[in-house]
Amino acid sequence: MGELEIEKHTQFIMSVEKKKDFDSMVMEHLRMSGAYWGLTTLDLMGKLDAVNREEVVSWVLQCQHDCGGFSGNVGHDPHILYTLSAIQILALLDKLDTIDADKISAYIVGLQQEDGSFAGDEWGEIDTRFSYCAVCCLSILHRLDKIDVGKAISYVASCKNFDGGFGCTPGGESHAGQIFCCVSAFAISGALTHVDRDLLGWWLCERQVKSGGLNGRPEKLADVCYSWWVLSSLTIIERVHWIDKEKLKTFILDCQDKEHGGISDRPDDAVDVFHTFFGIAGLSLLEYPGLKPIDPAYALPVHVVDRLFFGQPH
Amino acid sequence: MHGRPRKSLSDGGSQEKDMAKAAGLQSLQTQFFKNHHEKIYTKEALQLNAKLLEINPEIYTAWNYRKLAIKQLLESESDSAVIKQSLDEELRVVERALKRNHKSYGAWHHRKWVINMGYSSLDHEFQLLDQLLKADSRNFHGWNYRRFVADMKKSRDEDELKFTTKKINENFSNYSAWHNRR
Repeated sequence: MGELEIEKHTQFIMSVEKKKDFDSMVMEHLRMSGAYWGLTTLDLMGKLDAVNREEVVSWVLQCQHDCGGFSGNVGHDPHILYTLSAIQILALLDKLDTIDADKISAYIVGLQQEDGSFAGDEWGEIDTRFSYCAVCCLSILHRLDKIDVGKAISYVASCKNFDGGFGCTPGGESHAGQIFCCVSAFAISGALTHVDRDLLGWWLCERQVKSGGLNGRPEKLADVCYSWWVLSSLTIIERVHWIDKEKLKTFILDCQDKEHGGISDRPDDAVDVFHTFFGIAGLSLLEYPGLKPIDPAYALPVHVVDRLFFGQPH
Repeated sequence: MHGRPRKSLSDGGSQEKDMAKAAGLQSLQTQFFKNHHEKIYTKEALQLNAKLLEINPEIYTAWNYRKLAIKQLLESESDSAVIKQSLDEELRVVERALKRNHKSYGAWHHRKWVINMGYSSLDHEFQLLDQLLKADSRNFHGWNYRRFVADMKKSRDEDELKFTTKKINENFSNYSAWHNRR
């Protein structure tokens, strides 16, 4: 247990980019999200200066396609998931002036369906994850009004289940990851009235298991990434005090690889940048000392969100 | 990494094997992207793509490529027996990918995309789902897909209710089965 190994985690994140092993290769298609997780974690720990910003921006821009969307890596196809990650990276680095916001907005607008839902790309997969990507991305670009927000919200609301949670599509089982997407989409759009806070809060706080960790659905194993999906949702609906924060903190800290850096899904498993981000983001929400605060809906440091919406100097 | 034990970094022998595996994957990927960017959809190119997806079903661009190949086929082919044969091959590619990762969003969506064309047997889908949901009764991809196929078949609600009852009898606290009764 003990404390958060900031130096080790910084070294781990910086080393991820250079890895050429099989496990790193199979993640190449989502490098844009990997970069967002890594860079945001560095900023939360106050270590973003270790990174060459120009190099990052140049690579991000190489992933933009003519349609306005961004791909997960150079040469891959565009997708709304990586478009959001790209915009989050540029917002973090204060480089949103390098892109054409109207072009990106048009790409996202083109993905909205008749029923208000969003496809991930031209091939039509529908999922509330993509509703979140659309709303979050357009909000960061100050162009939320370009989509039919009313329809977008009513589609997300149609994915509400008997237990107060939300799934991928109407009728889909409640899952903490989807709940984060739906609740955050509501929060960003000013539509939190669609959430039954007590009912959902209860379902969410039931995710805490004996070890102090959180799972994503009933009867599943605890996993550090749910420290984010569940915790941010609870924060947005103001029910964080319904879980045992100290036990969760202990669980996250136990998932660190104190020798080589990085955080894993559960103690003694292999670490990766995904769980490192969500563990540290979770600790930030729990107000762990030494970490910058993170916005639970935008999943960006609060100072970045302030800069976007209130023009605060950085 | 989900469910993967932390390895010691000094395991030299397995590192060599891993680098060889990585090199193999790199080579397949390089060839695939060349085919994709040059719009090459030959039988060999599709087989290479299938090999890639079997190793890593998460490469979403590789699923897009297969859809482009099918679209091209549909533009030039009017014999429905030929079309059905090609689409059945797509379903086999998805099945192999699902064996690698039964939670792959790309694999499940490709299957749905193919089935939506209306050439394939829905009964086979139910059989596949029975197997998958037996192996992992909480796989929400499977449950979502089952609802999609049941809708397409216009399955009677009573039949779906019977399936969820069966799953609940197998495990009383199967939350997924209870949820799907709504």
